Amino acid sequence: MNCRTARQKLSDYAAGLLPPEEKRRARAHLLKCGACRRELSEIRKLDRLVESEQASSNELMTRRIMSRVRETEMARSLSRRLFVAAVIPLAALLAIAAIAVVSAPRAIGAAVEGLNAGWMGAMSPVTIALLSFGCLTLLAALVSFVTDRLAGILT
Amino acid sequence: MSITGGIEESAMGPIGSALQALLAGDFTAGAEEALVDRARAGDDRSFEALVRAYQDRILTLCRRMTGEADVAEDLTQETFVRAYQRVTSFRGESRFSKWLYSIAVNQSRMWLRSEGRRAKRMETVKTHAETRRAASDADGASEPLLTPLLMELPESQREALALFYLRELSVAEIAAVLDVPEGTVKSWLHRGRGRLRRLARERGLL
Repeated sequence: MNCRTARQKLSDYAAGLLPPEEKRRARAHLLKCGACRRELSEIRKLDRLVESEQASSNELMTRRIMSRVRETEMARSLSRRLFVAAVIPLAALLAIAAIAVVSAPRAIGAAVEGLNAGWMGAMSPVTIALLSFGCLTLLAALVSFVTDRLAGILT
Repeated sequence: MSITGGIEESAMGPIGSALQALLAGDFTAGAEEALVDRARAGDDRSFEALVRAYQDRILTLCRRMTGEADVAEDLTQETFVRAYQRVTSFRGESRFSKWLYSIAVNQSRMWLRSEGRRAKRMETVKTHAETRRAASDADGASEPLLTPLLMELPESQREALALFYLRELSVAEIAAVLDVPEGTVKSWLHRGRGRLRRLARERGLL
């Protein structure tokens, strides 16, 4: 191996990246060539300098990291709870409202026509609608309370 | 305070000994697995021990990738947040450190690719080395001199060198982190180290 070839290999030699045979040939050349040894020495100096520039942290950094980890985890947990506590009751409310919209006209019509005897038949359509709305609101509140409790248990 | 100071004496048992092994440079699978298994099971103290063991290396990696000390701190935090969120999905098919470095590399890449930052970085990079050297000469502080030079390398070479100089991963593992063939990593390392050496010579650092 001549100097030109050796110098192309020195960086990989220092990094331990040469295959065994090339490593052996490079080593043989280095034994007899002072100029290439100086070159290798400079490469190793560069490696040492870069490696020595290690960032060092401290206990404060650990605390910051763990604090950030816990904050993020709490935020995720809260968003999961909010999802369960808000979206599920809302979906339930919408479902109940849809059922009410479909079935209410028939019930109101029946009441108006006096098909149902007693107190129901005596009520005006407006009263029946208000009562229905009140019942739905109470039901939604109940669903919200139960799902919130469930979310609390799950998370 | 020592780096293990945050762990109470009573908790120094298995977690403490695994952490001591990691801090002493024993990156064998056994030392890592002990902490990772507990962290996966939801033990925060084990995760904290992993943070202590790896925070310097993640910080160093992010600093070499971005060239910015403050940014590197933020990215280190973000790396561990992501790791915490995903640790249950870590299957142990590779070393934990390699998995962690992959997250750090991705975080750094995302930062580097953020809109507008590249241009800002290119404006400041040329004066970084000189400024820091002057500051170092003036107050005797040990500001990094070579790390800023990494910013003058192409991103692929910088990534390969940042991982290589951790002196922990094999070329095959670096290739896996960067998702490229081993030969490509070898080529990036060869070119990157040559270029870094030329830059260091030009700045009178060698």
